[in-house]
Amino acid sequence: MEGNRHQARGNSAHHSHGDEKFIWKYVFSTDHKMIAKQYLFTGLFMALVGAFTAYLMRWQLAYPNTAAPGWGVVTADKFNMLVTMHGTIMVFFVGMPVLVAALSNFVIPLQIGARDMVFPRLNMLSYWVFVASVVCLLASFFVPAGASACGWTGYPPLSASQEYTGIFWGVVLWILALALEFASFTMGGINYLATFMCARAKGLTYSRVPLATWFLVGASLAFFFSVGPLIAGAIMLLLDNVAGTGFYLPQKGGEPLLWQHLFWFFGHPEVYVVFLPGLAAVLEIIPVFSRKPIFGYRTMVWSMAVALALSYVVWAHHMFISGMDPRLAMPFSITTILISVPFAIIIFCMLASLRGGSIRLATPMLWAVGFLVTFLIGGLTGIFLGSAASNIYFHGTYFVVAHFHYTFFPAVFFGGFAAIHFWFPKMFGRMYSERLGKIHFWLTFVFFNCTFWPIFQIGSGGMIRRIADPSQYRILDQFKTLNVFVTISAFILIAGQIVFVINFFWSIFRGPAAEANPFRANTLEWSAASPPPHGNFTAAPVVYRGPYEYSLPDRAEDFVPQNEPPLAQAEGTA
Amino acid sequence: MIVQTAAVENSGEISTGKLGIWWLIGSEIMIFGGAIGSFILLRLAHPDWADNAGHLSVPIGSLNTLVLLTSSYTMVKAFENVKKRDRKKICRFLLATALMGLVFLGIKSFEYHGKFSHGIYPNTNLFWAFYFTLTGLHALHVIAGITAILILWTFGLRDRLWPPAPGTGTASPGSPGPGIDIIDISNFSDPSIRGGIIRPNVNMSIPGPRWSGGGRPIADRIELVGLYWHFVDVVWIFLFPLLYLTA
Amino acid sequence: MEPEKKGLGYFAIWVWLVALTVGYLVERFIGVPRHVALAVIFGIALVKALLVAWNYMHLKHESRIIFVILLIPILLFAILVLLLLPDITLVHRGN
Ligand code: HEM
Ligand SMILES: [Cu+2]
Repeated sequence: MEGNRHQARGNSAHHSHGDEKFIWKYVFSTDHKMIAKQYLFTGLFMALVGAFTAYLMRWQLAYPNTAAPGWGVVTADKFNMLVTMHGTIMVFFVGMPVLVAALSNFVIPLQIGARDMVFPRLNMLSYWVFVASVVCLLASFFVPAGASACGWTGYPPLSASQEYTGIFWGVVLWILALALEFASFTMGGINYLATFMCARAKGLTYSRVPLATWFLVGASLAFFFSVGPLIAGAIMLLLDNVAGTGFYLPQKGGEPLLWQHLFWFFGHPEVYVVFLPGLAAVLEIIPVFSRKPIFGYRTMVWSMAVALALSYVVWAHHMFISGMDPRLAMPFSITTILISVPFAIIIFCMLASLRGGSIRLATPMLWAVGFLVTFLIGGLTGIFLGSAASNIYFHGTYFVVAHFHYTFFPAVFFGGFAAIHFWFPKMFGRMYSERLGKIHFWLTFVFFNCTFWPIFQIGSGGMIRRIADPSQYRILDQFKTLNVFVTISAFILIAGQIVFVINFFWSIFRGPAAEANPFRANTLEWSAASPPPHGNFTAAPVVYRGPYEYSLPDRAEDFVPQNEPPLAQAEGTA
Repeated sequence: MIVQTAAVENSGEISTGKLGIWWLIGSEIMIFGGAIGSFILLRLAHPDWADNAGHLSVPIGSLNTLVLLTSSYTMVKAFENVKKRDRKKICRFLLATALMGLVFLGIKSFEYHGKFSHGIYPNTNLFWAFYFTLTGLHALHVIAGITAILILWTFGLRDRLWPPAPGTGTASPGSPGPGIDIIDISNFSDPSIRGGIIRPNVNMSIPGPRWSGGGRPIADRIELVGLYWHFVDVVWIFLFPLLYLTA
Repeated sequence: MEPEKKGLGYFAIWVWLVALTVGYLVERFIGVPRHVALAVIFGIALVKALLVAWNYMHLKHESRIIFVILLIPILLFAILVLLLLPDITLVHRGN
């Protein structure tokens, strides 16, 4: 039981403890590293589902009303359903588990030198609540009338009453799935935040905490304080559906805009919830693969703090054409433009960190640089959407679709793959294949851009989003070939992920054994064994220095682990 | 290795459990904040809702407020007796708190029943939708609180609040006892970097018998549940005037 | 840590809480103008909440970090409601 599991933590614990039953070790584990892997695998599985919905939509957009291989004709109502589930899955069931949960779980305790989360059982519970949420969501495909078709934002009145879409159970399960997911991540958030505050190793002051941990904690904070109103809003939406209340139904005196406000009050910070962890991985990778101290450590942490604070007061830029009070548009335009300042600062710090370094373009670094490039495009196109004047033209077109894929995709997949490759040796104790990794990167990078770049053009040409059949609109005929091109690129993009799957599973079982610190990095996780045993560290790590001391002139080695004592002291004890 | 004895006092330090509860309360504020905020916004928009609010009985609402306030008092008394290690009193106060929680729920369902019998349901109009949603959400929290309190109460009855004094096999109420020796190997944090704010956590301490929940005596949880219970009370303190007194 | 002889303190707080609750009713009987009444009602609620938080939840002994955890959501709640006033409330009132 409990006790035995906890004792099984010496460095030999890995195989020698027969009493660590399979179910406790792999299923109901309280070990943060195992929970991280559980989240990772669940998230990657959901990515397959999300990709399948994308495939079906793209098929329909390029070859309208022909049977998509493996499914059949995508009818208009099914298209709505696919859009909804695609958005929901990609944001909440891929982005959140892979980036927030898996990364925070794996990285925070290791980087701060803790043995585990401070509430390990809560951690386990949070994972299983998440599983329940996944089950709810997937079940909604199979209930009568199918899954929710109200868009991933679930705007009422469409989502508030069965009479509009004919879907009851799908919507109810969709709301329940979100509610469970939020409960799960709230538990997770409490854990990450409390662990960060309480369990740092001796000497690890706030100014020595690695940036990855800072940014992961920032993501948790963004989530933590923004999700509450949406939970309340979701309860009201649920009651509108099941109890016949009319919170969001104008004919009953309700206010549909209220949901939009509650949703986006969460929705904008949510963008940072998936973005900051991607950034976290990239920030950790850049100094390691350019062998240079990071530029502007404090500046970046403070910029993040400012961005977090501002992220709570920009939400209505998603609603410029919603019919909200026009007097609100001005302040929200201003805050939106303001919030790009801290991110610009962070990006400049990153570029400065790269400058003049001895850059090694190994797979994690490739993903990191790819992240920077693609996200920059996403961020720049956001400027058009941020100001109310041009937003009114672009809103509801494929320009928006292209924009948010240029922000989400880099964050979730470029950032995610960067993190997976970078921490792969630590996670699984083996090395991934560098060659397959590079092939996978270039396939993804090239075809991601082929897929989404033309969409900017299609969007500014007037193609509206969430339409099931572009062939119904004369003005969209000009984009026929472009749409086919986009679709084929998307197929290759999705197919290219097979390379990753092969690399991933082959390396887990067959990859060459990894040493403790294969990338010669400074942070504490690299001082633990690969993979770290239950309990992580054999002796208490003590931190003597900041995380980014690379290529110091007075050192033979070009890196100085955080737990290496100062020279004088080392000589004294030696 | 730090060997610490469990002397839990308010010395400006807080345990991880307490920190967790406060984070929980922080997130609950946002949940209730969203619901209450929506109500306030629409209530301000509809002065005519006063008619509906007039249907709510202020004396019954006040009575319920008093019940919940008093239960907060008994809860804090239970916590006070944790410090004195008075198991009997702890149990008595916990039970009293839980019972008053039940009385609160009883009165609430009496009110619900009265509304239903007058044909007033959540879908009657927006005011009643808010009334049932807000009080229902609050009632769910009361139920959760009662459950937690009753669990602690059974721990108290079975004398599991503290680990047994060595050699005796039972806890020794009244006597301060040796406390538990926790060998903290879970984290290596240095109080100086935390500004002395947070006590070292002990989640991975060498596990004692079952009653040393997470290395801390169960008795410590009375404070945590108490914090939650008071929070639920505070929510009601605001709900009562918002719903009942704005007629 | 025995300077906090709060055994009686807790009781005194309870008496205050009860008195304030009854205070609501008094206000009803004497019938003050509506906006004054509302101010009194919510003022009383605030005082009661602070009494509970300060004494029963021991905020007066708590470290600063707890205040940060509490103040952020309270502030955000205020921002949310204030920013939505024009959009939800005033629209329905027709201005
Ligand atoms: C495999 C690559 C992907 C392809 C080919 C793809 C394709 C699409 C398509 C065709 C739409 C529908 C646009 C419309 O009809 O309005 C869409 C919507 C959407 N996608 Fe993706 N997508 C991909 C990856 C992602 C990722 C990684 C995310 C986020 C993490 C994401 C988030 C969304 C969202 C939020 C929507 C909006 C759903 C809605 O309108 O309700 N997608 N995507
Ligand atoms: Cu936004």
